[in-house]
Amino acid sequence: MLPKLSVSDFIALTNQTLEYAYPAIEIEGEVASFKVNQGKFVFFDIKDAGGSVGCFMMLFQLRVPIEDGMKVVVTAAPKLTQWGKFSLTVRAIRPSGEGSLKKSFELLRAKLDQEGLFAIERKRPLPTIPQRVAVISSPQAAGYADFVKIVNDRWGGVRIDVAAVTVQGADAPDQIIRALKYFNEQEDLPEVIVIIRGGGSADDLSAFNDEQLVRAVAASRVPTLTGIGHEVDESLVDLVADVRAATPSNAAQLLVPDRHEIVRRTRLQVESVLPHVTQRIDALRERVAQSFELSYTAVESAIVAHRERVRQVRLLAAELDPERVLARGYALVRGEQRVGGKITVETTGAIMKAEIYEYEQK
Amino acid sequence: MSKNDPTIQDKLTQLDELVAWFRGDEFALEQAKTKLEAVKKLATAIEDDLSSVENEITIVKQSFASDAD
Repeated sequence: MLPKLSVSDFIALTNQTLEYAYPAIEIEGEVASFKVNQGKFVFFDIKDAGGSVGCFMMLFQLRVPIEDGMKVVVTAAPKLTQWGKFSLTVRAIRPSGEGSLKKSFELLRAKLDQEGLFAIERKRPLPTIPQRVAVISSPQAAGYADFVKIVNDRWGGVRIDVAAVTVQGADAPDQIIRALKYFNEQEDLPEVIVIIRGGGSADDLSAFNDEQLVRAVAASRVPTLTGIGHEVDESLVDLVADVRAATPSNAAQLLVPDRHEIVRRTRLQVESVLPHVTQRIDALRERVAQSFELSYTAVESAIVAHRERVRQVRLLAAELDPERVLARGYALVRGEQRVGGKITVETTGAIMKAEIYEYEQK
Repeated sequence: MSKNDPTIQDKLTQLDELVAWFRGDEFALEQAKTKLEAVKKLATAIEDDLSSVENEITIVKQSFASDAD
């Protein structure tokens, strides 16, 4: 005997059967008739050359921009609605294929750029020598191993806390967001948060173009450094981070200084000191020599001046010598100046005695 | 290393200051020998620190797989 069910029971039974058969399924196709209702419900069709299925999801589950014509993969559960309409309840949607990934990337990039999330003014500097660092990565990944090896080779004494997360796939963005939240809520904040992921395909790296993740990185209280993929790979998380390294190895180089370089610089500094001391001593020596030279010159000048003065005094004295006066034809008269007074008259060649017979005052 | 011990950054800054003294106006020949010895001692300490200190890497125990954790 065939089972006889009410319409509601039939719908419930059908949904039970569908849930059992397809608890979750990934379907790839092209988006058509994409629309958002009441600012929270998303409706679209997913189709290929052979058919089309209606899809429904909540807006907050939409992590990347989607538009008609894009190729996507939806993670969904099939469901029969109470109005008898078959649809897919979508839990996650991601662009598929290079063209769609690029399109989605560009759409989100333009939107976030418009909001100023990538502005240079937002960028904060990293500490020169960090003491406490937080790393978000997959410790099993090659990129993480490269990062740790180079950090350990370059520097020491850093406390590094690592949040182990998956760095690709649908779960990656949420795990990284939780790790960011964890480090940002620490009482003793790290000085920098480093997000590390090695190279991969565009699809592998698409987790780093997730809108909520990009916003979480932008909102981080702690400065962020990214080392994601290879040099040519550019994700939106890279663009929003405070500092973007080209690779995980490069992130290690930007994070800590090179101890070998510091040792070399320190030795150069020590070596540079001695020439400075020598230079100072030479300068002092030069100063002493100059002072001596100046003193010597001053003494010499004084001696010359004194000699000149003596010479002039001598000349003057010579001019006043009575012999010289007599030589010019004058005579020296000594004796009493009165009539009848005896006088002595001395010339250059003779001494004569005489008597004054006439005296008159001038 | 206690919290009050100078960090490598502190020591590097101190070294920079000492070396700058030799180039600055405050240079005095009478103090140069003492300062030079301090530079050498500090440089040796920095090299020792850099060659011996290792990073301390800890994997956080918390799981980030879901909100419930």
